[in-house]
Amino acid sequence: MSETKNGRYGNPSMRLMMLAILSLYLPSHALALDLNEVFDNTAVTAPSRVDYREERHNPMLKEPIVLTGYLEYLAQGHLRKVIETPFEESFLVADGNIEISRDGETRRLSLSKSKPIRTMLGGIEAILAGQTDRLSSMFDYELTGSLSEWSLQLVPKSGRVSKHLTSMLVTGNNSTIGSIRIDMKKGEWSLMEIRQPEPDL
Amino acid sequence: MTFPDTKIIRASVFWLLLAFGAALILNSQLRLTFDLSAFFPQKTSVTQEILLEQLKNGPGSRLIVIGLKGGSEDQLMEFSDVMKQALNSNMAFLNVLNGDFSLEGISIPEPLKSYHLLLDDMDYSQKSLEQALNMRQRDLAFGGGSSLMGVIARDPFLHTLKVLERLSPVSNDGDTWFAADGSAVLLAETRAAAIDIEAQSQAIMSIRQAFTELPGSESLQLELTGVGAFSVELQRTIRAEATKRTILAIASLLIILLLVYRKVSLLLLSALPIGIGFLFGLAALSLIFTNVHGITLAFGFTLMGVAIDYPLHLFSHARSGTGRAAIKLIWPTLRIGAASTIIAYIAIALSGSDGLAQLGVFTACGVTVAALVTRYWLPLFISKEPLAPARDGEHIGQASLKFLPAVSVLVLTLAGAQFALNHGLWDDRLSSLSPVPEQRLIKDNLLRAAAGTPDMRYQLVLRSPDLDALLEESESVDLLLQDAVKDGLLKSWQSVSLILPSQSSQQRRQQTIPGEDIMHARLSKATENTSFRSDAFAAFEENVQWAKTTEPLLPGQFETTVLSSWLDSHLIRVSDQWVSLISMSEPKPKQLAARMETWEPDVQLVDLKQSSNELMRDYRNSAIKTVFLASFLIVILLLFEQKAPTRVAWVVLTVLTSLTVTTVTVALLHSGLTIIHIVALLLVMGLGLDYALFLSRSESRDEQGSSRHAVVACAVTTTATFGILAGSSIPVLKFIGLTVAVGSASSFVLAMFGSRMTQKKA
Repeated sequence: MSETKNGRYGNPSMRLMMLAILSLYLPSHALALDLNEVFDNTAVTAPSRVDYREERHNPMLKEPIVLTGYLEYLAQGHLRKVIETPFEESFLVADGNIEISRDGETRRLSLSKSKPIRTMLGGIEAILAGQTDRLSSMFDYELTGSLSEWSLQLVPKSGRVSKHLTSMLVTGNNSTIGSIRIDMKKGEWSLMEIRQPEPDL
Repeated sequence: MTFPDTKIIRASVFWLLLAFGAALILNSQLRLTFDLSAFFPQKTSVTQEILLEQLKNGPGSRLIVIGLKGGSEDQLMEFSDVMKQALNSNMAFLNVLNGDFSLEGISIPEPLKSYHLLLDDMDYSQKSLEQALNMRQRDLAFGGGSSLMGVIARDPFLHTLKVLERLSPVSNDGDTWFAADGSAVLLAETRAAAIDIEAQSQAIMSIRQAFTELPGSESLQLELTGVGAFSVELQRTIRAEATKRTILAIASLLIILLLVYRKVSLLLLSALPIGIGFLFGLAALSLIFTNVHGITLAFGFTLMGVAIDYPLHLFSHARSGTGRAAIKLIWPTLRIGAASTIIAYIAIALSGSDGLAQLGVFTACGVTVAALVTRYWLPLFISKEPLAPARDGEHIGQASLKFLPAVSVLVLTLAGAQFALNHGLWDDRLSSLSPVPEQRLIKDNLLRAAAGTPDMRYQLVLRSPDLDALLEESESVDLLLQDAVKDGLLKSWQSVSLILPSQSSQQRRQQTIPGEDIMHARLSKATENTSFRSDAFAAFEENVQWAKTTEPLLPGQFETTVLSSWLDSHLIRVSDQWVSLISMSEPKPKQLAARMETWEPDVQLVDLKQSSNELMRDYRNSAIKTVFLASFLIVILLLFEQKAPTRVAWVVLTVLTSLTVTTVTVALLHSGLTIIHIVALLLVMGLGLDYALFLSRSESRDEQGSSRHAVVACAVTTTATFGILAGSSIPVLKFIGLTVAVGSASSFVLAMFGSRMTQKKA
């Protein structure tokens, strides 16, 4: 094999390509940020509460449904999502159950055996609480960006869950989580924008 | 070189030609089936027919319960899902459930999908539509999912889901079912009935195949229970157990015969009567019945066991003479014994069911032929030289028959039974005949409990010759049951009205559906105030207009759909009646029965457990009546033939005592008698008659010795071979084995001790 005057593989474009190929073999989060480091900055401790604004997109809708309300992280394993507008509704995750309160009626589902919902809500709790191990047990993840502006792509590990949930994309900055986008099957998706946490509920 | 006697050649050619003819008939006519329901009685009440229908085709009987164990909860949930999907695409199954009721992947089955608007009174008002759309918007805000979107577009009231939820016989709250022992549970409803063993076997194979395809299945355990699964499993176990016990029994029979007669040729000859009898019995069945039940052969061959005694009598008496001389001596006794047995078997042929009719015909025909072979063919083969030197041939003896032993044993047994049989003589539980081990039944209950399957013991029954009248009555009962639920008399119920309303109700509902323009206007207005696109509910509009003008729903439209089995389990046709079965959850039977007395439609509360016991009791009573009739005929025959009332009285007393001893012993050891015991007691009667008749003969000392020799050989072989069956774990084999072993031994002992020879000079 002949060598160029720049030496073996000396062509700059070739070197770039080699680098790109090499990078594929490196662990996904080794080159970039460390998730623990990100979560050290953003994690909230119970009890705490964050407000949100959520857009829900669906092919059946002429315009997205916009929900506002708040998320309460009450204690380990206890999370409440309250919708305040355009209607009032709440979901309380506690003791392995989810309680849905709508128009004064409460319906309880056992969460321990409803894996897709458990994964979705468990993922949100893990992100809020900064639980890296718990998150990585449920999702394959890819963290990109810098500490001041990062994004975390989550893909469910379980085939059962991925039948419902395609992926989640979390973004944030130095101190807070900014948004959570959830992509479902057949063009349905939602974007939840998190407002500043209010410590000491 | 010596040639065989021409008589032997002629007789052999004759019998072999007949056997060949029988074989030809079998070749062209024999069709075996394994439908156990043939053994159910023919004449039953409507309630019992419903029970039999449920046993044969009920949805409960078609459920295979699948348990997955050995992985983490998450893994098992995943595997449960994979198996559910794999089996749902298999034609062997109507439906496979695992508790997971996520809307993702849900499909609304026909005819529910098209006709659901005719199943309930719907509200198409502007307000109702707006409320529904509002709720659906909130559903999409909560989670949505692609399947939910499809359902909403066609049915914004989510009415189809409500109907589906009401139809589900099991807990469907969205959680994957887990049993208390950690097994993930699936329920697979097979297309074929539980008694179709071949189809069930195929279904089980499909489940095992789906299981082995799971990743890491080698570290998991698969548990299958339910009627179909047990039947398939037991078919193998029963076959293996029956083969093992039969080989042991035949081996012991051969060893005993070899020890007694010390000639291999006699062993072979002893098989001729029963072998040819079997062939003819089977040929007769093939000619008379369209299908021959496999179980008839198994039972029939057992009952024909009495025919093995015939050549033994001949061999024992031929020890001191030729076969021809011996048969002339014993034929009157052998003939009367065989005739009595045949009467009993004919009686069984006339009682109750197709299966028993076959059993009777097969054994009666087989025993007749076996007796004739023993009389006309077998003696020709026995050596002309005496097998043992003759002694005291000149002495003629008169059998001295003592009544005291049998009377005292009878009295003692009956007295003992008063104290010992504190649980009653009869065991009418259908489950007593079930060969399913208790541990497997416990496992089945454990797995079923996870799915919350309803108790099928109590059902409400409505009947009418006219289908639409029945459906109208069912709708009235639904209203009455609503009140009963409010008053706590039951938790819930399921009736045919859920998916098949009467014609008048359907037509009334069609009339309440607004016209196309009105409906479109209302829907457009309702959509305006929501985030839904204006065309989001086009599919719903189309369905509404179709439902308004379509022909009402009829039972035929459920055929070939997944809902057909649901309909079949709530609406059946018995004789000329339509029957609606209403299943209930947590009923309070006594209070409900009292409430029902005031109801206008004539509803019946049926306790299927009680019905099954009654069915077995009726069946048993009819068998007992038949046996008594047969016994009466046998006594008449004996009196007519023997013309010796004392001897007949002694024979009857001996057989009766032996039957009593056997009955009490077996009832004690088996906690009651079943129909199988009664069939086995028939064989005991045949054996008892045989022993008693031979031991009460007036004959020379030599002949007396031969008779005793033969009876000892018969009793020892019978007791030993059936004793081997008595050790089986399969109830039917165990019941027959112990009954015949005890019966044979007691018949022998009583006949031996009750008879003695007195000598007088000829």
